[in-house]
Amino acid sequence: MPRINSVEDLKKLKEQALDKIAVRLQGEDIDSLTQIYVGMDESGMQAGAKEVFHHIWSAVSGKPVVVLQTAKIGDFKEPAIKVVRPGQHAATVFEGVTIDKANEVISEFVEKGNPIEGMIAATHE
Amino acid sequence: MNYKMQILVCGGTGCLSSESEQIVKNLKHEIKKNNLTEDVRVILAGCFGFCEKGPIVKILPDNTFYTQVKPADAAEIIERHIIRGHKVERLLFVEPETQEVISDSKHMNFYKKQQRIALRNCGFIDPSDIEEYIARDGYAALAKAVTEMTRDEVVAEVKNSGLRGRGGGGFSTGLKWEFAKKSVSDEKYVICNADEGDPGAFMDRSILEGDPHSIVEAMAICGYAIGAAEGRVYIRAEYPLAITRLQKAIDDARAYGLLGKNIFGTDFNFDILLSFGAGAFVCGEETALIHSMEGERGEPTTKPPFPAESGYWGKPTNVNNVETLANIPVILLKGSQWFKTIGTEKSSGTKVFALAGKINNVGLIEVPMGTTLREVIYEIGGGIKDDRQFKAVQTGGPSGGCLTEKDLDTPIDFDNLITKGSMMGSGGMIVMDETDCMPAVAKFYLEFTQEESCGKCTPCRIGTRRLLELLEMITDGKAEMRHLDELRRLSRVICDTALCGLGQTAPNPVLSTLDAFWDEYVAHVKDHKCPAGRCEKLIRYNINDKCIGCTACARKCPVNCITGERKQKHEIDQEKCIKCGACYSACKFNAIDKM
Ligand SMILES: Cc1cc2nc3c(=O)[nH]c(=O)nc-3n(C[C@H](O)[C@H](O)[C@H](O)COP(=O)(O)O)c2cc1C
Repeated sequence: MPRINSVEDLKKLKEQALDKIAVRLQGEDIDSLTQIYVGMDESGMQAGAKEVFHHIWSAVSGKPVVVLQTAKIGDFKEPAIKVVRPGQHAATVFEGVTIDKANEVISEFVEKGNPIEGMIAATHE
Repeated sequence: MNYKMQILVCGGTGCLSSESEQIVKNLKHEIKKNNLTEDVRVILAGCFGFCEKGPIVKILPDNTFYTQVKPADAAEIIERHIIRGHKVERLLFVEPETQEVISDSKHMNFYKKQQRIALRNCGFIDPSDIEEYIARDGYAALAKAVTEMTRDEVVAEVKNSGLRGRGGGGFSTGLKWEFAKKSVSDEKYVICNADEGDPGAFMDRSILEGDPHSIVEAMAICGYAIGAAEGRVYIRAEYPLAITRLQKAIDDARAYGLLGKNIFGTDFNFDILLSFGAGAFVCGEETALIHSMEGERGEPTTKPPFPAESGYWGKPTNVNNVETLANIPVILLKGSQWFKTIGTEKSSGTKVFALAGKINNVGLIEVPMGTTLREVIYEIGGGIKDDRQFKAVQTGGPSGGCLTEKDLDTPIDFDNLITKGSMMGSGGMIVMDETDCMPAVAKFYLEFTQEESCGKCTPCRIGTRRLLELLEMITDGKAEMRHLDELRRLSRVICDTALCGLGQTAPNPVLSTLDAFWDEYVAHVKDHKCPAGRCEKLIRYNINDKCIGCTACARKCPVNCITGERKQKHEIDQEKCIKCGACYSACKFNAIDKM
């Protein structure tokens, strides 16, 4: 059990402890985060949605992005992902997402806002 | 461990009694079965407040809020939601007015107008994990106080915030701290009043169960500010879960060095012990509480001297309510000016209410001061149950009064409620509809205060007994008009002469219902009628012409007071009838009138 002898100790412990509630904080701040939805229904899972989900989850760790599971995203080639910017109804879908494609979506589209090949405009209810 | 999803399950007393612990077990079992232990974590959190719809299960980060969950739903939640991303529609909340299905609690009418300061961590953290509290800036206010602020600065910050005691009196917390700080003594004490004796109130219990460290931290801050090294929490033994969680919080804080000697490497020492109460209402009164803690009878003494001068063992003592204390760490971190932006000019901040009675959304709510009763009852509370008519709302528990339709647009704050003939009290709010009889409501509260009177002073011991007898005469139809005058006169005498707040406020429910529902009292006395049809002795059952002589009523009557030939209209012997209503329930032909 760590003993807190100073304000610095408390700050350090807080930083470590934040991991425990990170997912809850994301939920609390969801409207100010970029949301990436991964379609996880049967066909999505068969096409590798689970791996894509886990990969994106690790890749965006510590960034103002929340990764969410959803059922089917729409009539798209699986695995499909949908990116929603904070507070927007407009969304962008990417279909047939591989790990490489997921990396490109994160580094170019999500982080830099650059358009990339295969973007499909959609809406988010 | 970096979990991708977390499942919060309400672990408040209400939801626990609806098997929320079993829900946790089943969820964990399903998670293990599906090899998800590295990705998904289940947490038994504190109260979410929406007790009407409990047990509550919340999935994060997508904020899906499931209501009335049963242990058997665990498999479907994991299989459909956690694994495949489908929401379990049948467990989602449906807004009664619009029939809209809502999955995120922040869009529900119940939560929209709430602002959670005292309840900030309830339903969010694992109350048994000190590190989760620390992750939410826990103990940062204590650190700031003892390392960056002088004692006077801490007192000034609390004073400037305008925080007033949430235990009922509404006295300025900062001013009270100042008195205790100025008292010169080798020893001083901080007492947290967790007696919470108002019937139907569970604000303090929920804070202690859901966020116990906030109280530990606040007590330590108070200790620093007034110069005390010891704290005591006076908590009723009927709160076993709150006791367990609070004790764990104290033990953990001690183990982490946040209680004990040289806190944050300074020369400030502070520790906390628990004292258990046996659940007497009067022991919530601060002087009675102190006597009870000293092993004496739980009886109040006159003030002055106030505890700030001479309290526990005759030493300067600061007594604060649980909810009052829960606000302290936030005030120190965010500043008194921020706190003052919430609420009304003379009542800053928020207030937690236990919303109960004939209301659709029973539960625990926290709203900014200044929110109107209408907003609380109709928007947050979802209106009156079964589309009945609103009649009154009792605020302030047994010390408060009944407010009516004309008061609904009153912004709730300490002063407004007193002006309207009631009081804030500790936060009980009981809503009544047209089927509630107001003299009977007054009688209910008098039964309580009379039973709970410690008996030390005559006005309370005998006066409340006499008040109760008068109310019994009224609800039994045996009173005369002069008794109503007597009721009012005696109430005033008790208010003016009783020793402590219990007696001084016990007549309030009588006075406020006499003022607002005079006609109802008169109907009981002059017409021997209870307009709400509640007072048993004033009810009459009569058989009307619809009777076909089926004999169902006669067969059900436990005192054989119904007679008549088969296929002939029956009759009730009013002398023998005990008004149990068995005949009324048995009749399938609407042939019995209840008058
Ligand atoms: C009969 C009676 C019962 C009381 N019960 C409680 C109680 O259960 N909890 C509480 O905090 N204050 C209760 N009080 C008020 C306390 O005497 C005291 O004012 C309060 O604990 C001070 O804390 P605060 O300034 O933070 O409100 C009661 C007062 C009376 C007269």
